[in-house]
Parts: sequence; structure tokens; C-alpha cells
Amino acid sequence: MHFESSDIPRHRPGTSLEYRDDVTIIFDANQQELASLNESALAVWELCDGRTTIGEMTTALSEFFTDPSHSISAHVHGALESLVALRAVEVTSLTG
Amino acid sequence: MTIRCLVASSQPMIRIGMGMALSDQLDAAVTECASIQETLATLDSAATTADVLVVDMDLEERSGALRVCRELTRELPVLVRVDDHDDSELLAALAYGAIGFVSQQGGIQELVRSVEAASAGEACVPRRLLGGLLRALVARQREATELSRRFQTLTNREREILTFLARGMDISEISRETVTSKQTVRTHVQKLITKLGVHSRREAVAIAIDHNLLQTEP
Repeated sequence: MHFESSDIPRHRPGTSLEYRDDVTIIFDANQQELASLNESALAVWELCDGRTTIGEMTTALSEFFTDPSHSISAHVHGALESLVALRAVEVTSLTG
Repeated sequence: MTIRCLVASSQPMIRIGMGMALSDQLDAAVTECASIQETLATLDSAATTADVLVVDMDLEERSGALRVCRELTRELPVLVRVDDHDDSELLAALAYGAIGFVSQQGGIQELVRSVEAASAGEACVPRRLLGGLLRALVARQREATELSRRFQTLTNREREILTFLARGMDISEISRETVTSKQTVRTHVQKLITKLGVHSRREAVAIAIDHNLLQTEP
């Protein structure tokens, strides 16, 4: 799976989050549990808002976690691949 | 090891409640303060040492915690207690050096976990606040990118004049400095205001300074 920095991820319709004691769970539209997220995966999920590009996401997370953008970029791409595979997120490509 | 915790809030219920929770649940040594001045004076005092400061965002005044964060000169993890605050206020707190937040909704367990984490130098942002903070960060970055793009459209002369305005020079002084007529300077000023998408000279100067866009030596 390859993403461009101009691609825009968004939550699939009907997906939702639930905060439990130490974990955050994503549910699909049928309230089936899809995955539990750690803090950095949650950060990626939160920016899958249908407006933020992957490039903007990487820049923001690099600043927020004060990590170099190349390591954040790998994390963002990895998290997005997992979220897309789980059918929790869909990615719109502006480059066709 | 006992964590020494300074709790600052103008609201006695909040201050005493957090202090009791931290004493009971974490066996922390708690000192309480009720104002910005008292907080800063206490931290400045040789008699008081603290491992963590937990400060109410609205200590004494709206966003009073930002003043405390800004004026603190020593290394001390600061947790800001937030309620229904704007994400931009939370971003400002991080920019002024806060290590994280405790939220009203998070309850005692979140407070205790956050103080423990902060005392170990770990950042702590409650999960419920993360999305809003990150979206505010993206919005700020977009704004900075757009402003930078607009700034690139200024001519060298317009940038030079903006720098003079930032130094407090008026139209007459800029006219003399640049050896151009006052009307020409006014025209440049109007054009740069339009290009930057602002409404006044003061606003143009303020955003140029905020975003570090000005020349140091014109």
C-alpha cells in the first residue's frame, strides 16, 4: 500500500471510539470491535478527519511528539496501512 | 519516593480536592497556592521545592496558567488542569512549556497518573484532548503556511517598509529613509496590507513578528 503526502484519510462511516481504562477501542458501524489503539495510533486516527493530508499529519505529529519527521512519517504510514486493512479508515487520493 | 507537588487554583474546592486526592492516592507532599503571585513566589522560595506543579488553567484570571508557565524560569514539569478550554489555549500552554494536562472529566485516577508521569518527565495529554489539540496544531500550521505564501508575494520594497513599520517608524520617517514620497509609501503600505490579507498596519506588523517573517537588517 502506498500513500502520497497529499492523500487525505478519513474515518469510514459509522466507526466510533470508546475510551476504556488504559486502551482506546475502535468499533465499526455494527459495533464490532476492530482494534485497540495505543497513543500514537490514536493520534493518527484523530487526524483522519477527511481534511488533513498525510503530509500535514506528519508535520503536526512531528511537532507534537518532537520526533524527526522521517520516523514519524514511517509511523504514520504504518498506522494508516493497518487502519485501512481493518476497514476503519479510507484514503482519498487527490493525484488520481 | 514522595512526590512534592504544588497545586495552584483560585477555587478552594478544586485546590483542596486535588491536594487531598494526591495526598491520599499518591502519598504526595502537597503545597497549595491560590494566586499567580503566590505560586511564583512559592516556587521562587528556597524553602519550597516541588517536583510537579499542577495549575488550574484559569488561576486567578482567564488562562492565568499561561502567565505562570511563561514566567517560570526553572525546570519544573507543569500540568495544566483544564475544563472547557479552547484547543488554542491548550496549544499555547504547551508552547509555554507545560508538560501536559489533567482534565476535569478524567477524575482522580487521571490526576494521579498524570502527576506520576510528569514527575518522571513524561508528557501526558489525556486521550480525550488529543484530537482537538492535534487539529488545532494542523490549523495553526496551515495558517502559517498560507501566511508564508502570501508573504512571498511582497516585493522587496514592501518587505522593507513592513520592517520599518515594525520598528515603529511612521509614514514620514519611512519616506525620508527610503527617499520616496509619502504617497508612494502609503501605496506600498496599502498593497502589503492587501497582499497579507489583513486590515491594518498594526495587524500586518503583528503577524509578521509572530511568524518571524521580518528582515533583521533591511
